[in-house]
Amino acid sequence: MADHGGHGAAHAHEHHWEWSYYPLILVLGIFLSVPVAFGFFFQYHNATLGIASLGLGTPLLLWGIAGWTSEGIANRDKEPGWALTGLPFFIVSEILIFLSLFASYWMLRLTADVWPPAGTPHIGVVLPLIMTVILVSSSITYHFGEMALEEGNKGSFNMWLMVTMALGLVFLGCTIFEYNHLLHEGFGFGANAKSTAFYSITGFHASHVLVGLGAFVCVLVPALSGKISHSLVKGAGLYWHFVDIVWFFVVSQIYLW
Amino acid sequence: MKEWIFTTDHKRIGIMYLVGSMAAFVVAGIMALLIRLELSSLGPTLTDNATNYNVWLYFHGAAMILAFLIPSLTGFFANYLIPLMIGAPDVAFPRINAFSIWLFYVAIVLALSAFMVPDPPDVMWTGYPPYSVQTTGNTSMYVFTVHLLGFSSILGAVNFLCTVIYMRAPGMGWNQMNFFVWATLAAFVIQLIFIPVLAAAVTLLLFDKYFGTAFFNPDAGGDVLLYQNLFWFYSHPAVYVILIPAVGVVAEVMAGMARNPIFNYKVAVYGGAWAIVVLGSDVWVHHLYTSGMVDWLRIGMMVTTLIISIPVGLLMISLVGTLYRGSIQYNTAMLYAISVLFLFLIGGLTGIPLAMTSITLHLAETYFVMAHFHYVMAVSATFAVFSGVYYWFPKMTGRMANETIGKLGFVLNFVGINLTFWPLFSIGVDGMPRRYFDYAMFPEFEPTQKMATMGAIIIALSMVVVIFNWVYSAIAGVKAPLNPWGSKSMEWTHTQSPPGAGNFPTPPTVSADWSPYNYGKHTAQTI
Amino acid sequence: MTKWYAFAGAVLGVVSWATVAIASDQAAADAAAAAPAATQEEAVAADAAAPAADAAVAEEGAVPAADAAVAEEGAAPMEEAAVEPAAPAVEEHAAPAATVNNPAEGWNTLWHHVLIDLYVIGGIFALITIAFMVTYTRKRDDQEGDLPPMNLVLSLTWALIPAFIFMADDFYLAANGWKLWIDQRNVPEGALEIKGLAYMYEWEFEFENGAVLSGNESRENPILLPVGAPIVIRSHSDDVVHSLMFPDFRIKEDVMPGRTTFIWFMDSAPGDHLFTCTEYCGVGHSNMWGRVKTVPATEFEAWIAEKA
Ligand code: HEM
Ligand SMILES: [Cu+2]
Ligand SMILES: [Cu+2]
Repeated sequence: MADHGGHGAAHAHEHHWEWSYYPLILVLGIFLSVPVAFGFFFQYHNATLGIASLGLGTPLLLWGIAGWTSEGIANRDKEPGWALTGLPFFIVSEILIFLSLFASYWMLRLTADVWPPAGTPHIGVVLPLIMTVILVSSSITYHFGEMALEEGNKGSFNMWLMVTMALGLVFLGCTIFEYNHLLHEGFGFGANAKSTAFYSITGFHASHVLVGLGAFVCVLVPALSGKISHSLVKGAGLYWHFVDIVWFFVVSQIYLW
Repeated sequence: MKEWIFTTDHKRIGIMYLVGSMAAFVVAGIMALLIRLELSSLGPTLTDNATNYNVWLYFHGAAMILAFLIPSLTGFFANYLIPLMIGAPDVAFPRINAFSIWLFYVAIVLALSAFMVPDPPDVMWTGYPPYSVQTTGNTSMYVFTVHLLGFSSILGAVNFLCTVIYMRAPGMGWNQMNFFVWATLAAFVIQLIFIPVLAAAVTLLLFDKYFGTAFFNPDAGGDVLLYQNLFWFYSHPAVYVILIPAVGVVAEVMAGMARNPIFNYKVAVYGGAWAIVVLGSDVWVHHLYTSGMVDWLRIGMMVTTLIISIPVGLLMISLVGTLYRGSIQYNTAMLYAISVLFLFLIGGLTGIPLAMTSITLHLAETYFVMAHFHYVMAVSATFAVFSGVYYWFPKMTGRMANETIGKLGFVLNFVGINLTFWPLFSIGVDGMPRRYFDYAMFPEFEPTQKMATMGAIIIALSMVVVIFNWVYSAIAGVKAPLNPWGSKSMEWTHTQSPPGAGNFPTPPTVSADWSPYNYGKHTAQTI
Repeated sequence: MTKWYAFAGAVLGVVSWATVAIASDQAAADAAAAAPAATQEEAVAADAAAPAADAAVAEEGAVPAADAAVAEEGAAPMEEAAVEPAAPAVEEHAAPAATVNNPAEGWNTLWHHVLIDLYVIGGIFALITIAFMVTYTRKRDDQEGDLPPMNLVLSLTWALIPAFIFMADDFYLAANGWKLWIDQRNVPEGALEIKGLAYMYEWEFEFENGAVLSGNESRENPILLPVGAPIVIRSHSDDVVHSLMFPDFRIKEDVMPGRTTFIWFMDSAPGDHLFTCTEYCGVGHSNMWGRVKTVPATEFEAWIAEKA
């Protein structure tokens, strides 16, 4: 058994034990920055330790993602290339999370005597419609990027990718703006059943936009130096379109209904 | 060394799952012993603070299910065996596989720290609100343990679905796969579809407790039953995540040790495992028979729940039938496997009254339920795990497990669990409620509780013997022949023990007649 | 040598089965004594059918025989199922309190039926397994199994026939379960109404005349209830989920904030009973219990009037 481990050793003629640092690093990052930090902040009200574990966890998280991505891109000939077949399964899971959230919302809403319950301010539909336009255009711009890539035009791909990301950021900005506005009107998370559903569902969707943007960063950074993994590009795109489609349900259920 | 710790190889990851889940089993088992000692006499025995008891019970329940059974069945066995059984060099996404195991490990660490933090979680493994929202205990720890393990399992599911769909050896048709592979596939489909619901449920709990939302707060328009529905929508199917692979392991061991094909293989696959996946999604209300759900739903789900006995019965017939005209050899692995036939009979049949709404109005939340699910999980599924470990021990270590010590462990184990759990059926029917720190209202149950505690001590002894045997035999056991059981399955016939990197010296291909159960004159077509 | 293991396993299996039977039969014993004659007959019939079915299955060839046995076992209960559940539902309102079915007695009877059902199925499976275990041990080291080849017809036969047996049994159980359920969930007219309130860690019961009685205090001074009269407790909780269980009356229901749930029961002879919490509610969970005592109605009336 040859002892040159890692994904660095290309073209080994015999099998060797594969290994990688990054899964562990990534997990440690997640562990420190989510459960541990959350526990310190919200359960034990200890901001110092909370910040400390966030401060330790976040760099680990970023390092893990960066290392993982670059290892993947460097060794793409060794990856079996089933990423695009695995992602749809994962998306099935995601769909079910959203479904559970919507089901909870329906249960709250359909058993309520009056809806929206007392204490709900007016929630405008103009902003969400603008956000819809933004998100849909971002899906289209990404598609343009992918077409450019198919023609081998990497520069144009990068450009479209950045446009997409900018649109995603604007979308998140809109969310923040809206939340800020509503919170100022005294519509806190726990105000009533409507706020409960509203913030949970839109917030959960926004977190998915954030993850999508994160995936784009993983595409963009190597792409700027000319390294492009097609399965990563396709996968990030697929995820983005999924997030886009979920938004339609969010708008129709939360804002328009 | 780094090739072990940072490994992305499915066999090593599998063994790490085994080690991790056995560690969880040991700690959760010690909790069980504490619980049983506490119950051995009326009034406070070990501790006079019920919160201690509740934290032990929380850890025991959550760890046994989430950190022992699910990871050992869908983590260890699936990882170690599936690529070997289908002739693949590894899983589809090795690094994601490594990611999954680390998520599993940090989840155990998180769960274990329950014993070290102030305000430990005391919400039981079900975490029902409003208690879990109102308690001063650290419910976030429960929530994140579920999240981490859930994320790990979902990724595992994605990984293995891709592996089985795309990486089978050239020529291997769907009906030429080991039953265990099918069983695990079914379990992973359940994981993929239902875990998100659980994840959502506990996330809402987190929002309610820490951000003041009102999902489960009736004063602000929420509903306490919402959580219970979401929770059991996953957690009922979760028992099949345990049961189906456990049956898969037992079936493999029985086929190997009786040198027979699995009786009615296709019916076991489609009419058994997959029918359970389909039917299992609309029975969750049987956990809510006394929760105040509307009457028609309770009675409707009685019918669906009873119907599950059909696929489960078909699986049982396949297991028993595998012995028919077999060439049975009784080694430790087989003793564990065959005892599952009887023990699961007890566990499964006592589930029938529990499926009947009107009967369960009395039995719910009593020791009868406790005894029932221990016969299914703590006994049958756990014995399936032990059986599998003994059966594939030579594969993993290249050495034979010691039979004498093994059988001693088995006998102690078998006596212990029956001594512990039988008597509980009877006090359950007489009304002993579960999750009771003390039972001042039922002094007449004390002798029975004592007997159960004695049984638990015997189980503890037996586990010392079993684990000693594994460690001892892994180091100093007799060298194993290439195919000690004379099995026809690919993990025995096509590679050495333990298999090297890449699994197979030459990538296997199979013919249309090949099957892992070609004993006697059988071909893939006669199974 | 191997035969010995098989034998030991077989004995263990039988012993284990018998012990479960005995252990869980305690509660059913008195039920059996009280059960109407018809029940006894049915029980005997089922018992008698068992060996026959058993024998039929053991000889693998004799599928049709097994089939016949099933038809017998399955068909009768199914008809019964179709007719009976509706009946009590119609009668229930008209019925004077004296002829109301006592759900606890119904429970005991049904429990006895179910146990017989389980013994029969379990016995058949266990005996066949043991027979196989003892018969088909390995004789030579290189011996392989000799399971007959499967084909589509055989395979489907072995799936469908058992499926129908199980299905027949399921419907039998479901129908009987449903019947009892109707008794359990329809409160007879004129039942004594009690309002229950649960909080950490105490029960409170408010009677029609405004008397409020504490669960904790009832451990020393049991709450009196009239014997022979239906009693309904409609409860809710002030904090977390609790559950009100009367083990002797074979009934419980969760008690939670935001909803009101009920249980009803009646006692046919004066006696002492306890109630307790059966949904985990924190550190005092096992300490939420009390006692009731059923007494003749006149005694109850006098007692409760005093408490008002
Ligand atoms: C090995 C010996 C074991 C013993 C002596 C034991 C004992 C117990 C006892 C006494 C309780 C309930 C106490 C109460 O209700 O107050 C309990 C609960 C439980 N056990 Fe075990 N157990 C054992 C193994 C297992 C195993 C292997 C599993 C599952 C894989 C398991 C799963 C559970 C679960 C899920 C609960 C319910 C926890 C809850 O109510 O939240 N146990 N056990
Ligand atoms: Cu269930
Ligand atoms: Cu309680």
